[in-house]
Amino acid sequence: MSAPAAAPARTLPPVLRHPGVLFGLAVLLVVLVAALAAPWLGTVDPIQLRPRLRLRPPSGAAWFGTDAFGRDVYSRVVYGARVSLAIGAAVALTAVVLGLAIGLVAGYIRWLDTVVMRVMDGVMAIPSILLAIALVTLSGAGVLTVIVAITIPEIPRVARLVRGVVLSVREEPYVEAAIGAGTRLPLLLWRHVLPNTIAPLIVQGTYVCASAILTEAILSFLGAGIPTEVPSWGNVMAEGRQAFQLAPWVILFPGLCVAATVLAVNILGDGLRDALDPRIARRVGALR
Amino acid sequence: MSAPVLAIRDLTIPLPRLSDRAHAVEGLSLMVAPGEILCVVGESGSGKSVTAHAVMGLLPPVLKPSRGEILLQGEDVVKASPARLRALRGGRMAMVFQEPMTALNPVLQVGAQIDEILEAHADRLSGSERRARVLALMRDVHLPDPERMAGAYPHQLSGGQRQRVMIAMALANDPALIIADEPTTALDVTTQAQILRLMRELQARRDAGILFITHDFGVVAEIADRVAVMKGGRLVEEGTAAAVLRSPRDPYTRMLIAAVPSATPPPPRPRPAATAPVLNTRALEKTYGGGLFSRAGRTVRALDGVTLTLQPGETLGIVGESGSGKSTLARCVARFVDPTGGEIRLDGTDIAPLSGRALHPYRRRVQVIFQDPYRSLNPRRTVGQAITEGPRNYGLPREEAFERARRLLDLVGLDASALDRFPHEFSGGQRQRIAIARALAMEPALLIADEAVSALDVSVQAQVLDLFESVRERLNLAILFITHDLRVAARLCDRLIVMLNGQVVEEGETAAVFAAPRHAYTRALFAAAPGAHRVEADPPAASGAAGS
Amino acid sequence: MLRFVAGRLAATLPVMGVVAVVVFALLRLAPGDPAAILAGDAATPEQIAAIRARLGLDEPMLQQFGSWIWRLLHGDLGTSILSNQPVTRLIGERIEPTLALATTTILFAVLVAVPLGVVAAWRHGTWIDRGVMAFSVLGFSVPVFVLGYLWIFGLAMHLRLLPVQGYVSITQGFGPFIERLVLPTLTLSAIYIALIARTTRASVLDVLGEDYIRTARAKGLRESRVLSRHALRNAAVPVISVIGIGIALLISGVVVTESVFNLPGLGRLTVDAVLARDYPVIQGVILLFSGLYVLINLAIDLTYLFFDPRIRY
Repeated sequence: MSAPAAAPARTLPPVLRHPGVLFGLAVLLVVLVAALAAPWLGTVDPIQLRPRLRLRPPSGAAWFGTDAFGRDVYSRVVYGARVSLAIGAAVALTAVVLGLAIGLVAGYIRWLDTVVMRVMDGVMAIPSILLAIALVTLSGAGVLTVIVAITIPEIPRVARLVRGVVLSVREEPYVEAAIGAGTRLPLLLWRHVLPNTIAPLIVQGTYVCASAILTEAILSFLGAGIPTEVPSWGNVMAEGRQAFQLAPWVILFPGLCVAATVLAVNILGDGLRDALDPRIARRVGALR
Repeated sequence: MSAPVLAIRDLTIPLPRLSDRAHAVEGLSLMVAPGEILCVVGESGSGKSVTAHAVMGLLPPVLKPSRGEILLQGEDVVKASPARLRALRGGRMAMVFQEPMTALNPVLQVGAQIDEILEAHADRLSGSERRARVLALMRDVHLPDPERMAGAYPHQLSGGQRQRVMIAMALANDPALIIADEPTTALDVTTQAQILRLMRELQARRDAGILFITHDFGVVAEIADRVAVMKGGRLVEEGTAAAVLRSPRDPYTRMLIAAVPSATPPPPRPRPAATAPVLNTRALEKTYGGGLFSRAGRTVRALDGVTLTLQPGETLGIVGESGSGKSTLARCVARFVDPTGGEIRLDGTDIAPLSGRALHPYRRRVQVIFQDPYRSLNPRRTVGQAITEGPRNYGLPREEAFERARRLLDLVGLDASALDRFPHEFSGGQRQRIAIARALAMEPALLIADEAVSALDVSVQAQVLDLFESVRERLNLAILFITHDLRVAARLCDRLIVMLNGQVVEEGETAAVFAAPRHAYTRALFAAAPGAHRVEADPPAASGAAGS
Repeated sequence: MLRFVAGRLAATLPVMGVVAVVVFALLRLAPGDPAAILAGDAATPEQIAAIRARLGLDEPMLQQFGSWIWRLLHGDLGTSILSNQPVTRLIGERIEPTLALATTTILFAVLVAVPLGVVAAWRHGTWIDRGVMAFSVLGFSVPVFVLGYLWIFGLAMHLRLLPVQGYVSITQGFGPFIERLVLPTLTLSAIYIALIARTTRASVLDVLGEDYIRTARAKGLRESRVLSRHALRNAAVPVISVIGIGIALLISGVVVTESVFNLPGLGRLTVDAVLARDYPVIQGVILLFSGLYVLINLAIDLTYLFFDPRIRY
């Protein structure tokens, strides 16, 4: 027939040709390699205190300068990439999986829908940073607590997205035809409903990842995040708060890293959205 | 003949690269005289709508005429500056669109929307003069109580009233040319008849030329002075309405006219003697709303005591306009929705109260063909997967299911190679054949066709109707044939049921209903059917309307 | 119409209920012993027990919930562990700067973002459109506090145009009040502008594809009129609703911005409470902000009545 490239042939290659996707993936790859290869990238021990080298400006010895405890900011930033990436990935994955499950249930089991969605509305009404702050205050700072604290507020958004897809797909005549053909619910969801959620979920997942990296930075910056023994972009910057007029580099360099990484993830998300299916633009992320 | 209002000369509009053909419109020349209605007829993709939009200068930016001219009272629209074009649009030419619900701004009162076109063009009128003119226009198109209705929003009007507002808008500045792009296609037959009558009436009073785009030769017979038939962007035949309808020269035109189902039913076919019915419903009811949290008094009776019987091998037509409950009936019988009262006996068992596991064995006995061939097949699954899904759900081994699918594809006139292909590789008519094969794969006792040919072009429609006929003969199937189109029902159905507001108002043998409709509503439907009044000088182009 | 209002009002109750339950459950279901964590590392068992008693953690769960809700409904948000003052009074003392900052931010953001979005949609595919979209992605990606420090370095420290930090109440003069809000507003509004501009663009773009826009053009109307009268009003509902949803984003940003600019608002109160592990204060602020969020979104839902005549239950 006329146009050879169409619906189901939407596999990887065309997606990878999108400039936004390429750019985002490239930047992320650089950050990932830096995080993994941190010990071999000219770093020193990121938690070693050197009181005599406090607040030194950037130089050949300390590329990004040192913080108020004399720790090497460059080393802390490179090691900090590990925490930020891990949190971004973990939160995106967890939020997508849980949101998918909740969204499917709400979209397909009518009597549960109202209840589940009211609960989701309630969770969305609690400002996410404050919810995270409260959780961290109560359970003590730590990577796992931070992941849980950031994931919870993201779940309702994913769930709403999935529910929306399910509600519109279940009206499709091909779904009714499958019901008429005696296909039972689990298979029906797996075969006819789930495939429609994959593209929007991938896109939403990247946005969640970006948002999680930002939120971690903010939480740690406020002193309600990762403890300083584990360097993260947020707590490196938190160390620079008191002396920011004297030593702006402590905040500036990790800040740029956060911005560049989050920008890359966001551009990747926009690119995926346009490349996978422009129609999902109106569905994905009320918040972004 | 006086100077034409519209003269299109050698118009060519290229399509963007990678389209299925090079030109949307190619070398088209047409003329519309003052006071004349020219019907441009064609199937989807014929270029008729592109032509209409080109005249208005409303083509999307990717489409630009590469050659030719469009002369509106001698002035070339193609070369007009944007400002000049704005002055012509709404002033000297106006357009009525297909879908009056979406063509009107939902958040503005209709009076204001009519007023706006006066304000834009007749700037010497004062506010109160414009107001008087708006009310006069609304009266002209027979809108009741114009003072009140001018303050209404589009969603508060019926479909016919909305289209009247559109027409009032088009008439506002007494344009020389009115372009009507399928203006009645989205309307019910009775409403369509009223709108066509209105256009005829206004035509007689004013001297505007009308360019009327349609796919329906029935409508042509009602309204056209002259006819131009388009196919693939080219003009294939042109002439007076009488000449083209009576003795079409081009084979394509002949095929189009022949494909319009005749308004006279074929003679009744011999049917097996009545045995145990496949389906009978008793006092079937479906009420929407009225749940625990719904607002009082907001229930809608979609089905109100429907009782019917269907024998094996019999085809029962359910005819009605939108909102009559005919589709709800189909969905209840297929058990996609739960009826709120009454019985649905399938081979004697009442399946109305069943659900889930208990319903499962009965599902396979009833299969549905849906209206929209583009949405009734999962785009991600191959034709083979679609056809074998049902039989495999009921335990048929994969190999046998595919063997059956191959046989059925042959039966519906498709090649077995279709099994490994995806739905997007097929045309609308082919998809509907696949949907039929999928339904038959379940070896059902009852087939429900819910407006199954309504979305198809007439020529394709005729072929799919032929297919239904041959399948019915071979498999002795009972068919519940839901349609809004009496002519289509006449072609296929042994008996007819006419529905109105969820109730059955007429029931009988097709020939009997056609010969002597008892209910006033049925008579109104017949009177409204487009082409009902046409001069049937030629022998009715019945059966055998072109093979596939 | 009354039904619509009543329906919306009724719908906010369960949402507030869920908020209350979640906030309540946080303290009770948090892993570990919250009392021990709140008491700090050097606490004696007696101190931990005291905190437990004070938060009512030693009573049966249902009873705790009952009396907690009862006090909430009477406007009692508890007492600060740190200062021993009622949380409501602490909030009362700190609410002015926060409201001031939120108001200037919303006004500024809407005034900048809506025109940006409309122009981007209208000039779809041009460099204007791409510029707006690029700005919007950037706005989503830079952490609020980094942006705040950039403004401070640039405008306050380097060019010495504006005061670096601090807050002056409006009662002490409008000039100094606004002067100190400029940088916080610029900082906080970035992400909000990004969000609203993006939504406006998408919504207007959607509407421009509608049939009634074609009708308006077929009437021979000017582009400016097509945009203002036909497109913008139809595009309004998604934009307004995202302004409401974005309040959540704004609240998170307020906490950070106040820390950066040393504004003595609710955000500072929260951060100080985090450092002092003063849970009743955190809980009070959460309840207040969630309540505000729900109320603002309720008000926004009611404005739909004005924008869309089809909403008439």
